[in-house]
Amino acid sequence: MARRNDPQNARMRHLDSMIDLVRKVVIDIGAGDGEMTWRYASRAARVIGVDPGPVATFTPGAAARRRRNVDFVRGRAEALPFDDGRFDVAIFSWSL
Amino acid sequence: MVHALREVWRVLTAGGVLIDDRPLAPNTLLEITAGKRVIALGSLDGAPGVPDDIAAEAALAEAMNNGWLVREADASFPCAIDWEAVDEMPTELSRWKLPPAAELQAAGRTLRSLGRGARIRIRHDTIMTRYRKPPR
Repeated sequence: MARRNDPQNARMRHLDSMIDLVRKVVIDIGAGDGEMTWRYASRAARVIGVDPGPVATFTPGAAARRRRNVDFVRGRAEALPFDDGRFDVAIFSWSL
Repeated sequence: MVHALREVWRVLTAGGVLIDDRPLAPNTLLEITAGKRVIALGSLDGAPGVPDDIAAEAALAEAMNNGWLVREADASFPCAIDWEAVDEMPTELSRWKLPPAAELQAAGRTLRSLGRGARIRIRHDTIMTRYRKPPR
């Protein structure tokens, strides 16, 4: 694996201490390659990664790929292509 | 950034949560790891990222003043990104000033000499903050 973002998983441990993502609908704003989006999906009911550039270039492991709760959408944080009140949690990771 | 926070407020449910996590500029280290061995290459200058942090804090302050978000909790902790090769270190590191090319080339030679499993990493502090959209 060429690049590893947070190989010690410190961000997920601290995220878990901040909020319980179970049964939550999450928007990952500025998802980039989608690596963290897939990690959020291991907890949440559904995760949508949004990024203005090419998204989802990250290839998760086989177990993660079997999940059906992740989508990636091209869009800008200033004009999110979603209805009002759709998400329980929004995450900016290195993107605000 | 304020427009982005206005959009977050719009798409969140009442009582929904915003998590903001980002690296802190100071105390960022460049290192090579090989098994349990860590070779320190020096610290990275975080000055290039400071204007973005100031702008983000100003936008968050405005969002709170507007009543869109309430700050609830924060935590800081060490975090890292690592790569197999120096030339894979991408533009996402634009918030730090990388060492001169000659130093990076030397780091690359050290990395290659250590063989498979050796990696180059930046180790930095991260701050994670939780905000909540007020319930109706």
